[in-house]
Amino acid sequence: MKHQRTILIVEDEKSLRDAIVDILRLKNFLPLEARNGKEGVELALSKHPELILLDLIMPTMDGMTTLKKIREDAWGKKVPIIILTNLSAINGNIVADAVTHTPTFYLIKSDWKLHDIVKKIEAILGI
Amino acid sequence: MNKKAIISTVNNTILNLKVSAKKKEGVRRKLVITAKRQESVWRKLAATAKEKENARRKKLVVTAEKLAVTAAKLVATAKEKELVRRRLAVTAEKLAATAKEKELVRRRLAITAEKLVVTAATLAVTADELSATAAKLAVIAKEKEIVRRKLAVTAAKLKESYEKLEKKVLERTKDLEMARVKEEAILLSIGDGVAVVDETGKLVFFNKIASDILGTDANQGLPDTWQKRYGVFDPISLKPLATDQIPFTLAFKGQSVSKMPLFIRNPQVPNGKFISVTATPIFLGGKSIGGVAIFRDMTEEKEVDKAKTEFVSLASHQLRTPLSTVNWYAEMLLAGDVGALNEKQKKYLDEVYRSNQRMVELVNALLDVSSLELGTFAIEPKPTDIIKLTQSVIDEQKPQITVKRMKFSFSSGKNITLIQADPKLLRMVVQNILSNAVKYTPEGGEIKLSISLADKKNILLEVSDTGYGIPKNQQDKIFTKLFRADNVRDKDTDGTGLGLYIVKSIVEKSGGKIWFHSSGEVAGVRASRGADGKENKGTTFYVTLPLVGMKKSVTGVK
Repeated sequence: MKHQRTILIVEDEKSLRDAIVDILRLKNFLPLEARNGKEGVELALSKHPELILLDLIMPTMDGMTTLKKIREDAWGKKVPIIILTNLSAINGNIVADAVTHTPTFYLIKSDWKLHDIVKKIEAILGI
Repeated sequence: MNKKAIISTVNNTILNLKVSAKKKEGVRRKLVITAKRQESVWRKLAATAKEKENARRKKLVVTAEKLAVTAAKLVATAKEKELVRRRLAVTAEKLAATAKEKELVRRRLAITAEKLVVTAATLAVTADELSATAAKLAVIAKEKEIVRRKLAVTAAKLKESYEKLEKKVLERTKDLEMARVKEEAILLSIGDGVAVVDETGKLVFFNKIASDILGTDANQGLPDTWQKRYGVFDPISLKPLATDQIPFTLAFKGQSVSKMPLFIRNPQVPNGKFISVTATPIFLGGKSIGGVAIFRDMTEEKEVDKAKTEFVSLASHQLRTPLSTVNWYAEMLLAGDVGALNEKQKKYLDEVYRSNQRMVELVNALLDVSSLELGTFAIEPKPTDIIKLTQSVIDEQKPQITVKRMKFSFSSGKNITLIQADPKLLRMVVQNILSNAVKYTPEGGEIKLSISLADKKNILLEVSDTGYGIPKNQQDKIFTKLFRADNVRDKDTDGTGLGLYIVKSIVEKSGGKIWFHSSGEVAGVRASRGADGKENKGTTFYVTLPLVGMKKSVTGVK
């Protein structure tokens, strides 16, 4: 059996998280689920996934804080992170913050098909 | 008488004389006796005479002396007389000379007299004339007297008028002073900050609100210049503004600045302020005499902006989350990820998916509209290659163009430089106009797209089609929010009626213009003829954008 790539999904909306988990499994990835930023940071730092999908608006800890926390870690500095959100990039500060903390991509969920997201992940990981 | 008579007479006479001589001897002897007597008498007399002679001599000496004195006096007198004589001689000479002169004078006088006669005659004439003149002068004098009296009356009136005028001037000055005080009071009381600088850039006026906003102590007096006391910063980068970017500086140069956002910091107070400044030059008689700036504390507006931005962000998030769920699950079903669907199931699900997709587009468009209207659109201009950007939009539309077997051409001027624009907004503009042309042109139609320089400062985007056109009676509504022309509703049901509204908002916010020419018929007529497809004369949209492009605007607050 081929090596399964670990992908961490940090998403509070269960239906969306389930959809992503399903497609990733289907595409032979190993998805890890976090329901908020706090769980996300813990899982990221303990499991060192190969890529992180990160929502922005979440309870307990929002995505931007999560991003900052992960980037503070030595390992976390390099891990590719895709911000996957429905929050429009209309807020200049979010854009500025996001740029400062260097996510790999910023994708709007409703504009992206699941299959295209998977293609994006594969491209980033060089699969 | 004969000679004997004369000798007888002379002999008679000689005899007479011998007789007389004897008588005379007798008398002489008697006389010698008498003489001897007289001798003694004489001697006596001689003595007396001697005495007398002595006396006389003495007298004579005295007299002689007197005479000598007199003589001396006479000599002196004679000398004086000589002198007088000489003087007289001189005088006589002078008199003679004078006489000559007098003669000359007399002659002259004679001449003068003649002249005088002539003059007298002339004078007589002149006298007549003078008397005539005098008469005239008398008349003039009378007239003058009349004028003088009139003048005196006028002078009195003038004095009265002058006094009245002076009184009025005083009143008016008082009024003006009141007005000035009032104006100053008005200026001081204006609810926005007002600051005025003179032509040298020196601050000359600050009202109360200005002091409040800037945290300036009113007793502190005005600083010389704006920059001397206040730091002026870009509101986004918070970097100090260059002097020539400061509103007052621009106002000096005759430029107006309208509602320029600034961050101002008075080092003497803890926090700076976000303000909005409108600065205008003050012109007097065509000459700039300074500038006036009105500014407003935007701190509260900033809060409101923040709330608006957050609302739009959250609304976008909340609305799109269920749409994403539907999208993704339908997508997986349609892709057969969880087993194959039969044709009917596939068709139904495709409807669900496409409707959901429309909903996503509508929500996106509405969010764009809200952002534009609330002013929360983040505009991030950067040098943008409009040709490359347009090409990528064309590539996106290519499948539809091909499906509809359209003729398509794209031309661009060679000298098109990069323009300062936010690529995502510019893309929305190009994408909307081009996709409209594709959507609203029937199969086999033609679309032409061109980019050129409109002038030195503006770029021109032109998109023409041979489509349905815009009905004449609806052309004025085409940029209205949610409006869709009658003749396209039945041809394409997907439209949101927001595209051109968004495009116009973006173009105008960027300092550009948008307009169109369309030969579309009046809606009712057009619709009835639409079926035969004869009048697809099309539409051309024109967009100009300044090369300097969009201005950065980010409203989010940290």
